[in-house]
Amino acid sequence: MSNGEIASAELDNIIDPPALVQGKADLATITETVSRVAEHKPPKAWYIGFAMALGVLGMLGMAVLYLIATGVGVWGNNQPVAWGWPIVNFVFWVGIGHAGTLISAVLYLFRQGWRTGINRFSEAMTIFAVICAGLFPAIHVGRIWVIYWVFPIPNQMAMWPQFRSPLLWDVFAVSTYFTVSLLFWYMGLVPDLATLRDRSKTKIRRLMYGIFALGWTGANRQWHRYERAYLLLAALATPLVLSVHSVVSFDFAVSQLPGWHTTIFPPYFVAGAIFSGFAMVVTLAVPARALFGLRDLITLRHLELMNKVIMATGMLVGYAYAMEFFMAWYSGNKYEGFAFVNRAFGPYAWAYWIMVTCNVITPQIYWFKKARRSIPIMFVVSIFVNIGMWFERFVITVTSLNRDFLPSSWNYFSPTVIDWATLIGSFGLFFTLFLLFCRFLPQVAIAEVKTQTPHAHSHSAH
Amino acid sequence: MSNNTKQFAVLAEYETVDEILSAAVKVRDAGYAKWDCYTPMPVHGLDDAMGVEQTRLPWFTLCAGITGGSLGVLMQWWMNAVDYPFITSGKPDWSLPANIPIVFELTILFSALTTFFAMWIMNNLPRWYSPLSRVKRFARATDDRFFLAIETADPLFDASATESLLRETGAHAIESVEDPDESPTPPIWLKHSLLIAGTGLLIPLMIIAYARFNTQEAPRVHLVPDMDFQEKYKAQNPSPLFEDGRAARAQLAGTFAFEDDHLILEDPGYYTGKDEGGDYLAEVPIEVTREFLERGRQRYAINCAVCHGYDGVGDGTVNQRAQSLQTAGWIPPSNLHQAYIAAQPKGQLFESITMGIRNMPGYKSAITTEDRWAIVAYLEALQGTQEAGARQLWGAAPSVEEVSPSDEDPLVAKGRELHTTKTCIACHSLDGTTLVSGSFLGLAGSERKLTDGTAVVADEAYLHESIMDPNAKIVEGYVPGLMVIPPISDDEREALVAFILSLKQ
Repeated sequence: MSNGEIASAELDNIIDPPALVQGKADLATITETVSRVAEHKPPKAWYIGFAMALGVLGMLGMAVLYLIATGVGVWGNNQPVAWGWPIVNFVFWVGIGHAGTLISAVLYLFRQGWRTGINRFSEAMTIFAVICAGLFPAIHVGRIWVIYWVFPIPNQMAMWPQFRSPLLWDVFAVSTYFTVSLLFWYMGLVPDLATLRDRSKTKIRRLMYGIFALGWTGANRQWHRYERAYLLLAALATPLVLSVHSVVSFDFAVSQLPGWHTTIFPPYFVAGAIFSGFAMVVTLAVPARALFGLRDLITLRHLELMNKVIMATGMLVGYAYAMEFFMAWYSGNKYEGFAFVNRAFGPYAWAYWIMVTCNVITPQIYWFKKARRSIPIMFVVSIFVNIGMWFERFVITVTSLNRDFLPSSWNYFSPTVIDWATLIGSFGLFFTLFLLFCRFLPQVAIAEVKTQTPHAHSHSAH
Repeated sequence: MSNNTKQFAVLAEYETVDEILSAAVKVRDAGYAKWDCYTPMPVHGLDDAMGVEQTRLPWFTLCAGITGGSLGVLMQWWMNAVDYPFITSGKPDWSLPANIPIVFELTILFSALTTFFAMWIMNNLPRWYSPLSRVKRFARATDDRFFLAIETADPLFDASATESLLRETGAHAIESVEDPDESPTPPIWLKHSLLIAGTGLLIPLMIIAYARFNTQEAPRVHLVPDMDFQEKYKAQNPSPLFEDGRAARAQLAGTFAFEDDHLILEDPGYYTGKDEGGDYLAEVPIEVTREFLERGRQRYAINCAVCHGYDGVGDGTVNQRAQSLQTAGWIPPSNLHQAYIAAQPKGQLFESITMGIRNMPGYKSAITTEDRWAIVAYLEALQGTQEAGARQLWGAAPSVEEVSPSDEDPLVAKGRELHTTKTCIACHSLDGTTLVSGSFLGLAGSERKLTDGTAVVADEAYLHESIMDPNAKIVEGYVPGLMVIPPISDDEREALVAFILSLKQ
């Protein structure tokens, strides 16, 4: 094939991309494909997965109860690494959540029609990930029963929160993010819940779906305001999602610690968040589409596009890693220099190189179209990226802290059994919620996918 | 449910987007107002075809955003700069940049919540029931069919004319929608559970509000009171762990509490201010140079001036603050120019700084040994500035003989000495100034007005009683319970009383 041929083949692909909905794509089929998952008994794999997730969730519950009854000393956090796994897990889960908002809001503003296949469950992923994220700072405060002190509620001490602290910015950013994501997700669900309500055969299903469908009938005067509200929420969620991980990065960047005190953190964190979130979407989408027969709605093209985003954001993250080292050298600050040499070659070198391998090297395989479209490869790569991004947060947090300003305080951080139980348990919480979502709610945005078919467009007027 | 129904609307069914679009144009052009199209997804172009006006929703969003942002600024300003100012190392109470993230989040939060709820309210949702749902075929409005309904409430509605208009639009089916007189309502248990849940959510807020506006004598209740009751032995408590039953361990023989205490053995004079015989060193055991004095001045300014004042008269900012608060039991820092202090050998001053005296803590671990000597050396220079006229600068310190008249009764002289060494001087001056308590100058023989209204003359018996039992007679204007019974023998008390009597005026 000559260069010209390749170019024209690419051009064809742009002008007439493979259909976003494959197979027999009339409106009734789309309704049926998505709804039947929520209407029939799930496959055996769902029960096995749900039982496992519930078990792990139980472990989380016990670990958290033990922690609350005993105190945060049950974790490996200690001087100088006072911020150990809880903050690592917090940033990890918040980051995962960001892909959902990016897919639902940012791609909506950019009129990327392909988002409709995956936006519903990536939004669900956002909400469940933010729940997991919120758990960690909440249990890290120690006396969780007085956590309302972080909110500006009049309390018995007649004190107000310190609004100039990045930790309080976090409270506002994450709770706003959770609220807006929930509204956005629920609003998108309402027309589909109406579909499920109208299809329901039993009284109890009709009642439950009916309550949450709010009496939606699909009237066009309602669609008009609904679409405008959807656009507004997308426009609000876009700067919000950028602000949330920027604020999370301020937890580090605003402190005066070598390895944390850098201006690159906000964009670097946002890129990392999108990177890890897209990887998580692939990790979830690959088994879900096979298990629930959604291959025609979540097509290989969707997955390929996501893999492209993973490769691009992976390189952004790699650029940030390199830039940190450059700035450490170029600033001439010897403490900054030490922090970074220590990061790559110090006691946590193993973690640093796991991070680089998973985040920078692995996604390079996506230069090949075959790899981008191979289900086994993308599944493995997405898991690698998840691991790598967890290690990124671990490396940033622990390597910067474990070499304190006082060499006599230097210490090696080791997690305890409870640390492990809480991290693994948070996956139990996530998957319990996610599997319940898969079982009872439409996993694909039915109404939105319908807008992407030829049936939704006039053929005479235009 | 009653069987009486009346017509609510006429419903027409279409199969494709093109059909509903052209039908909508026809109904719009016919001039109907109370009608709508029902589609499984938003249909591009249907707004124009129906003539739907742009919603005003974005204006609500804008107003909410402005409100949220302004409230964010006001809230943070009032809470952090006015009602409870956070004082952070002299930084301004109010600095906008650090408050921007929360202003931003609140702008988004208010906008999003308003957009969401305003949209549902403008859409008249949530609604428990729609008459259209009584038509079986209408269930496909959320699946794959398109519907158009013209309500009977429309002024142009006419049963036959409207139906024929819809027939002209090419509807696949036309059906009359009936509505019973009594519309179905939500089940009663749903209303009740919503009411209970809503009330339940208010309970924590009410508890917090109650706590905010009530004063509690009892300590805070913690679910896990592990920090209130810690399993540990405090220094003064008994402990079953050791044979002597004490939680605090005594220093082991041959060990030192401080790292360089062993040096005391090598050079006791330099490290304790006392020579081998236990007598205070008369002079600073280091050569006093200009640099050394300058060092002492710096250290004095850093460590001592907060209480004793830069000029040494005992009027530092800590004392000023304590006096302004009228703290009960506050023992003011000594005026370092008092004769008894000026008369002290250098070793004694060094010891006072090292070990502390009265309520002044020891500075052994805060100031190095050499610097403590530097302060002692500087003190002499400081005292010299105040007494330059009375004695030669850099001359020998005045001896005790110089301070007290040499022809004094030995008993009175002993009392004068005890007045200093037993620290009476900290509260009772000899020059008529009021320190913590009254001056001894002119006390003897004066009339004392007591709090019970009676009056006594301060004679010898009164003085004895006041030393042994300070609270027996309380003079008006003085606080009972402040004075401690001095650890002195009867002979010493005799000497003290004799000394006070000698100050009779």
